[in-house]
Amino acid sequence: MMAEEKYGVMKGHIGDAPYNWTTGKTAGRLLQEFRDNRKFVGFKCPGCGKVYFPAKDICGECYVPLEEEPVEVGPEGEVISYTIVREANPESPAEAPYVLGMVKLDGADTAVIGLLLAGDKDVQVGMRVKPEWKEERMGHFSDLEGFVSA
Amino acid sequence: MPRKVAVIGTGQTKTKMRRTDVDFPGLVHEAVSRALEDAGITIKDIDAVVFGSSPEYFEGVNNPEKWCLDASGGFMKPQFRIHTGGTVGASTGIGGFYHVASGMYDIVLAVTGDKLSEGEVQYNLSTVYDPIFGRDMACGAPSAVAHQASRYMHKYGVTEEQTAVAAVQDRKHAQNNPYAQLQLDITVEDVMKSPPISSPIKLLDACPASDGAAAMVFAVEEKAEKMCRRPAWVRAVSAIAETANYAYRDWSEPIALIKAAKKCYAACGIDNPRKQLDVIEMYDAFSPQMLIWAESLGLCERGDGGKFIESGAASMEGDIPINPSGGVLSANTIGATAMVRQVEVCLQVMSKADKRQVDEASWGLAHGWGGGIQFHTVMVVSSEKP
Amino acid sequence: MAERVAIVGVKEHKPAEAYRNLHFTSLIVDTVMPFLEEINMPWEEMESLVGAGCDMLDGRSISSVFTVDPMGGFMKEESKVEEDIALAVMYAFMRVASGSFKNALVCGYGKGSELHPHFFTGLQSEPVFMKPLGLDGLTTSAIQATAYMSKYGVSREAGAAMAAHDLHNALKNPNAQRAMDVTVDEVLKSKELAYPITELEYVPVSDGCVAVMLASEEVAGKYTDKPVWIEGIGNCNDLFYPGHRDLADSRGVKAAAERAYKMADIGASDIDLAEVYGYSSWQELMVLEGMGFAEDGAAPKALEAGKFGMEGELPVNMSGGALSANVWMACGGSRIAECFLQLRGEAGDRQVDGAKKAAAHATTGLALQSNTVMVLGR
Repeated sequence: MMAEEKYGVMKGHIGDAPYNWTTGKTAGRLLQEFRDNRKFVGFKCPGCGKVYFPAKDICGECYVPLEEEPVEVGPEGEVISYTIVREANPESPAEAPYVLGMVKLDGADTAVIGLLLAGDKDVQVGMRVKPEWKEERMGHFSDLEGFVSA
Repeated sequence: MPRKVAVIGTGQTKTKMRRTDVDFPGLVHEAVSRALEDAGITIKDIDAVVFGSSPEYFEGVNNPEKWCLDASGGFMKPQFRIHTGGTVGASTGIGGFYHVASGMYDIVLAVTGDKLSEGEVQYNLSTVYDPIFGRDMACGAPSAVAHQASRYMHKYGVTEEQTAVAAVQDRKHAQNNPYAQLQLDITVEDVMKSPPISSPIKLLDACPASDGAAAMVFAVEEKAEKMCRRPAWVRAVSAIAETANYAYRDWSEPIALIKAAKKCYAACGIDNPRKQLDVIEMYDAFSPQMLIWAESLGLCERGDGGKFIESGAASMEGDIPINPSGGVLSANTIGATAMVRQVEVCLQVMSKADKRQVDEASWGLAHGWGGGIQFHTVMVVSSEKP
Repeated sequence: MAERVAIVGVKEHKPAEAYRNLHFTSLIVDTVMPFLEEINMPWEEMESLVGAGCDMLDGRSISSVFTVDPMGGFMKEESKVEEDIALAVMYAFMRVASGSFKNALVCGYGKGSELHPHFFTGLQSEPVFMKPLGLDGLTTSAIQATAYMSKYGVSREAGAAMAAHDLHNALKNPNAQRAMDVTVDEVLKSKELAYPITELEYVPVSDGCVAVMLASEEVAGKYTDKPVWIEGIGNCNDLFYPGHRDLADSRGVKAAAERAYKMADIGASDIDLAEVYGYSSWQELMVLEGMGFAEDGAAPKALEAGKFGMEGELPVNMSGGALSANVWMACGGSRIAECFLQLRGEAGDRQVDGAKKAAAHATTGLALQSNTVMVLGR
């Protein structure tokens, strides 16, 4: 998918219409680390010092581009919120029920939403989690299978 | 009476067929940063943001203004999105004007754009047509404008060679504009020989599809005068809608544009637009439209568009230069396109248009069209304060 | 402001789960045509239009191509705000306040029945981090509700109590699509959509249309002897990605409300009645806190103490709120409509005594990203 490109291009569809979404610099780099190194990297705002994961190119609060040099974060983190999804939509990543967690990775100042692979009985705010990666990765967010209890 | 409002800064990205170094929010950020720099202010000085982009199908994200919020500088500020199809760039600029004119905000940022390369533009435009009546045979924008052009050319005996002059002229002008996507050195013969897309429209009669964004900073009188040496005063705005389809509609006579222009002329005391205006930027997505719009703006008699364009009156050396930027035939992001028209006339009256500057330009008009060739916008700006 | 601006009329087409026999343009015509008659405004007198609709909801590009006409916009000054109608009202307010127009019709419509409810809100997800998870209005609201419970130690029953409050109020609103007397327990036992949100705590999907007519002070008296004045409007946007902000915090609502109150030169305690719009009852609680009607995390207690009931200090969602009917793009218009009726003493069985100032709230985006607050007075 992002094989030879410096920055990512993601293919997708909405209905019958095809898309080639540009990921932007930081997200492209971040996904490259998913694919090549199974690593989480965040990006620091030179204004407020906040480390963004996931990161887009700009800190909306300071209105400056994030630093280009990535900062490694995680791989473990803490669940700060979650939901057990029982009514899926046509774009859902899994058959319902599945669990979505908001995870603040160690070293990051923002949280990422991802699949929580723990059973819905076990999930709770404050639990420690670690990532589970797919064997075949292509520089896509779904390279991250989800988080499991650490 | 509305408060007096001026444009104190503008920003544009270079238009390109495909930008893979930035996502859509990145494009927006680029245009906004340039406009702020041009106005000599920071995002903290902005009281409110108005966002504009064309059908959200283009980027495939609904409420793109929410997605772009971090990039547009709208954090903890008021912001909403205007979407009026092709006119959206102009409607958003007009929105910036009303934001300030209302008295609610003093300095307002208006930003527009689209990243057409993310999706299938003409496929998505075909969904303008009704899913029950028309979508099966729809083929995007060129076919609709081809109907308009055929009707116009038949009615007034205008030839394809004449409309080709507009295509040549725009591309020539574009060579002076660093933001233009197509800077072509072509002849009428080249246009005539280019492959037909939807007759009478040929490839070189048509606009390209572009990735790009544009932004403008509007300020209230007192602040504009303090912050800007030569601001572009917004003298009149109008956005009129007619209907897409009705039995007696004459596609060669855009009644909405005629009304919008009249309204703005009346507000500015213009009775001879060709003489009193110094420069025009119009939304000519396909070359025959330059002739139709010129007639409707009162630059020549109805049906004389062919002769008008052939005379060179609308070239840089003519008495009423049209599209010194190269116009829409040289770059078309759709979302920002009608705003770029406003930006370009502002640059002209602010004497900041560099190589494409029209000498001593102090009155300019920006035009936009959209929807089923039914929405028309006009903005008149001037270096002279109202 | 150059001009004071009044709402001289509001028309809410009765929302329904689905109007299968009505094209969206018909829904608009059926709303706008009788509306102009009701307020005695000949179509020729209508000067301008601001529409509110959504291409992705209508399943077509530039759907305003076909809505300008039914909204009466032919050859008039027109624009379209692709947001909830509350923001279209805000824009129309600016246009009239500037002195450029004497009146402005605002019209918002939606046929949610034609699209999968969560697919529609899911279209707001960006492609890299959100679309792969199918995030939508429901799942982001649910994550937000969990964050709110966890931050303030609020119990699972709080959202259910707010839902029961709304659905009970809806019984007296003839335009409500969903209305019932339910206990907290029954709300909790309704189908769980995404923990902690159950079916009765989340907005239904509706087809409908709302029209609002604004007029300058100079001409308002021509259309009504009971104008309702727009005294303050505030809007505020927070960061886009839900993980980039504290979802339990309602700073965006706070800023929007502060702006509206400042413009109206009042405080939260001057408001007699409020209508709030959340995708879930949980968001409604957060909005009530943001608007200054309870301390952070304390809206559930205030609700329990009866503050927001019909006889309470500040009646909230007498209409039943968005839980009783939710026309995408027009829902904020229903909130404005209820305030309008209440201030004019025309709210029928649910009329609150002597309300002088009302606040209408609307949200757009995911997890309360964008909020609009409007102060209305008679």
